[in-house]
Amino acid sequence: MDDHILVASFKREQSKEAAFTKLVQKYQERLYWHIRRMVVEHEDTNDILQNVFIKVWKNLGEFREESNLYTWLYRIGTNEALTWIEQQKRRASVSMSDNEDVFSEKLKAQTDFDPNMIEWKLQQAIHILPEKQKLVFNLRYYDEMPYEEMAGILGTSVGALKASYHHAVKKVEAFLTGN
Amino acid sequence: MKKENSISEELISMGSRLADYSRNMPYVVPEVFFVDFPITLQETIDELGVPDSVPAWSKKQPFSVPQGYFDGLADHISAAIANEITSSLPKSIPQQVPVGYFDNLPAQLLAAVKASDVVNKVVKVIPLKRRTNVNPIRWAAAAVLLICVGLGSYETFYNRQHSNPENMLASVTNSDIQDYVQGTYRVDVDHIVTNNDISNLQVDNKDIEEYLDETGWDQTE
Repeated sequence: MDDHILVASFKREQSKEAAFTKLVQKYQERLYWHIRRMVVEHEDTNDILQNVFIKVWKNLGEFREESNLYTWLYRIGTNEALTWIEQQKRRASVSMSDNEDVFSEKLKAQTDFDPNMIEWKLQQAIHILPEKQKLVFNLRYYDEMPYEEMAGILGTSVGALKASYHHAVKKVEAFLTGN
Repeated sequence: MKKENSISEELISMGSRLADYSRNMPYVVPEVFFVDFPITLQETIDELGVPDSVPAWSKKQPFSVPQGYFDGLADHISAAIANEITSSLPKSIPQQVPVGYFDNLPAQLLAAVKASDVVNKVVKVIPLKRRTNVNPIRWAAAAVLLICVGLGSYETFYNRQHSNPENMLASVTNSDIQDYVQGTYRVDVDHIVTNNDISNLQVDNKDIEEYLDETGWDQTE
């Protein structure tokens, strides 16, 4: 269903719940993977994803469609994931430099983890990146998001995003090749 | 996930080997998670009692405003406030005059004048600071004193010539009278006074009357 129709249906009392269900079904997987690539564990992803859609339920009535719905949902998901990560770091008293160790342990605890598989190696390589650079890499490499759309989510210029992605690719490559 | 050539082409243009790698996610997702998620989410929203979003009613105001209303509103309100303040002020002077004040004032002033005669005997240095607390009664007493002095002076010097003639005649000395009589009527006054006989005086009655008239003696007395 078209996003405009979904939003309009949500704003009508009699069709609100049905529209909301359809919206969740349409975007849940994309948002799920976007969050999980950030936080690694399924249970944490589930908690954050629920928070995201509760916010959508509260605020979709005020959504003016100045940006497309997809961008708006991703922005909420990104902010919720980053907030959660910061809270986890404060609780564990983990500094920014220990980011790699925290997620490395989480990765190793995942079901079917195999360090020889390129997919797991790639995940390990991505989690050595700073949070924002990790976001840029994931949105571009996995979600194939245009830089212009990414700029709307992250509030960064297209040029800066391209440079960030370029550096992220180089770092990941260096990790994979053992340099 | 849809794989676009643009991503691979971009990686190739960077000279990156990531273009050759699989982009499949290695994470495991519980079965039917995405089937159940919308239902569990709605249950969560119901349990939390998440309030509905703000109704999408129109926020446009239906009321009309007179043209130019807001332009002069500030001045209008300021003037109204100023008018309200001044109109609430009382017109009458709150100070009251004691009963009988003006009736008793002359007697009070006179008493103050008499009292000031004693006070003025003592030389007093009045500091500038106390000038702000000058008693108006004292000033009034001084003014009354001056008036009295002026009136007294007028009484003494201006009305002197209108005083009693007998008193005026009594003030003339005997030698002055003798000199006058002897000079005017060629009469030996000493002889008259010694002998006390005036029968031989060759003075006309008419001359005596004229003399008495000139000296201010009234025949009717």
